[in-house]
Amino acid sequence: MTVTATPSTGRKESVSGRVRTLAGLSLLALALLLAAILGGAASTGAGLRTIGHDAGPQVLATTGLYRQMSEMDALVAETLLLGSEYGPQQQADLTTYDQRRLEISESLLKAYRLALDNPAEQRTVESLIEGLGRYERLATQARLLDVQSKHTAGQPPDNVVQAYQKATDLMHRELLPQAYNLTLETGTIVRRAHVAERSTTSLARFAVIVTGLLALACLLGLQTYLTRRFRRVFAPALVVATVLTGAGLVTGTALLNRQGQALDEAKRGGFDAVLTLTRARAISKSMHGDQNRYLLDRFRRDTYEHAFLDKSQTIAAVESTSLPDYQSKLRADFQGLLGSLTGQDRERLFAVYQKFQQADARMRTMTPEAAIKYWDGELTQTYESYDKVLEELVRRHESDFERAIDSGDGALETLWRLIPAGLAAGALLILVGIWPRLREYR
Amino acid sequence: MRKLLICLTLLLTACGAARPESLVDKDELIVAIRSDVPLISFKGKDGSYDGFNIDVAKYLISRLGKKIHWLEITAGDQLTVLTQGRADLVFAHMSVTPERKKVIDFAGPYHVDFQDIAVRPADKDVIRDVRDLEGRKICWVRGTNIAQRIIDERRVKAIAVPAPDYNVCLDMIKDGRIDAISTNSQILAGLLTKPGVDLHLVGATFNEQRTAIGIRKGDVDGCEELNRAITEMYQDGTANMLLDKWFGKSGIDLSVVSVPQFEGCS
Repeated sequence: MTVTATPSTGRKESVSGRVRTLAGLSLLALALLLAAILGGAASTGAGLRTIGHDAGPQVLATTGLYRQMSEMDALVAETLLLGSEYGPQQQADLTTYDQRRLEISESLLKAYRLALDNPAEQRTVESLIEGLGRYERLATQARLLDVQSKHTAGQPPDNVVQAYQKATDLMHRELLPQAYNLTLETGTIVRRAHVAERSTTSLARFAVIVTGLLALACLLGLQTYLTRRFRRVFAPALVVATVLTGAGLVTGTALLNRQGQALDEAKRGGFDAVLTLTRARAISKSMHGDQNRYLLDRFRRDTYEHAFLDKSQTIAAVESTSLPDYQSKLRADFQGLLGSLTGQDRERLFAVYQKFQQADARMRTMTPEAAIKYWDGELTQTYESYDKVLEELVRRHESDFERAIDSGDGALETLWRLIPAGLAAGALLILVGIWPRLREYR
Repeated sequence: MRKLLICLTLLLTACGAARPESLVDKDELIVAIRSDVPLISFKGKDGSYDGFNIDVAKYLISRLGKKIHWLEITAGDQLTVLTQGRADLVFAHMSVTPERKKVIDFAGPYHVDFQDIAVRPADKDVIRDVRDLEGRKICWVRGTNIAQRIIDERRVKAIAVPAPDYNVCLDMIKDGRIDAISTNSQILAGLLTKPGVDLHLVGATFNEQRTAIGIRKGDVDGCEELNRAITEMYQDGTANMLLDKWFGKSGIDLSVVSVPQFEGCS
């Protein structure tokens, strides 16, 4: 980039031409730098929008779907298990049931919106809407038979259990798997968008450095040429333009970096953690339902006990051969969905989860009547305190997520306002700097 | 300037290589299968492979737009072919277990099955449930965990009689050395189609078995693509058609055919 001074005799045209070329190159490099910064900002902005404002929250909404549907089924089982003497509690259960039904509709709408360009996922949502209608018909039948039987607390008559089996089979074999897969699939959409945008961002960051250095080199070349050619120490306007370009390069890179970091933090520390924890919470809800169904349906006690063990293994995996074996071998170094937790969170969660499993072990050794009382009291309490710890963890990661998105958004605003203004001023100053020199050649 | 260009090239290549190797990058996939399981995956008279697993593999891989190269394996190889990189996918009617998940990943499951029991027709009124196996002799094919799942997990005191494979189990139940054979209902249905076998399927559906596709550990992209293809297989009716084609006459309850709950890919 060094330009050597040439003898001036009769070479006026070439001198002004060279000044123009160098100035033009500097302006072009500045324009490219601006384009690279804006392009990078737009791409990370799109990434932040996907994960922070569109898909991310919607994915989190669909994770609620599984839990709400499990709870609906568990509430039906509970009203059947509680006898006619529990009238007010049955009524409360039905109110909660309606509340869940409403939340499910909202979650389904959100999922459908997210799936606008994914026909397979849209079909899943449609099939869930259709299936929920069938489920409610079957659940109502069971409930009607139950009311007619007027039984006291404990196992309802066989015809009630058989009617409920149809409903719960539909829920567990068709609806819950689809709801679970829906969350996984929306998670895939977010993951892929994140991977694509992250590589564009790192490319943009690199382009900013290259074009920025190029602009600086051109400006320095122009300065050197003018100094040698016109024997002036420096042109103040060009110095300011160089400083502005350098500042643009540094702040541009720094802001894109910060935005990229925010995106990564939001994805890993926030989104992924919330997704895992809400999945664990949903499965735990369904485990509590399995305990209830184990008490309700004497024909399928083995099946429900196995389902409980299977889900326990998904949440906190420990090598074991049977449920009692699992419960006795449960240690703090478990793997599985909650296996990624560390430090205090892990200890706290393990303590309440272990209590829940110990209470479960106790329930399974009791007589049916005692077990139902125990389930309704102490066991449900241990479940609720376990669920509360999970919920707190979810909340904390949700606020981490929001904070990361906000810090990324903040970086974005500064980028859009300050940097283009600075670089435009730099371009003007280049023109101001070379104007007097060019005039000498008129 | 030249240095900058070199840097740029290096960075671009680094971006390309950052993604781990995935089956989605290949045109032809090596699919490991077994050839000795009736109805599920077996060698036909003309030497080509046939069965439920084969049809599912063909459908899913054509959905991915890839070609298939079959690789015949035995039950003992189903994990090592993946860990040693000899196959891209394993369709060996493998069920998902925490131990297996330590070394490989699973796409799917593509089918949810239950464990069932086959007995001699004369015993069909005495053995109707897994609990009725108490004190009776059951076949235990070495290397499988099926007998253990009855004795340890269900805590039913049955007597496990070891055998090298299911053909020996069939001989043993015929001459009275054992009373029952228990395994995945689909595998049992296949055994019942063998010539000279006269057994009754109890229909005791217990211990859910999630039959999944084995893939290499860490292949998230491949896993997600396969899961999408499985969802489509259920939505477009192919799953229903294939289950009916292979197990329609077996006595397995096919009244509910619905997409299974996936394991998840990461």
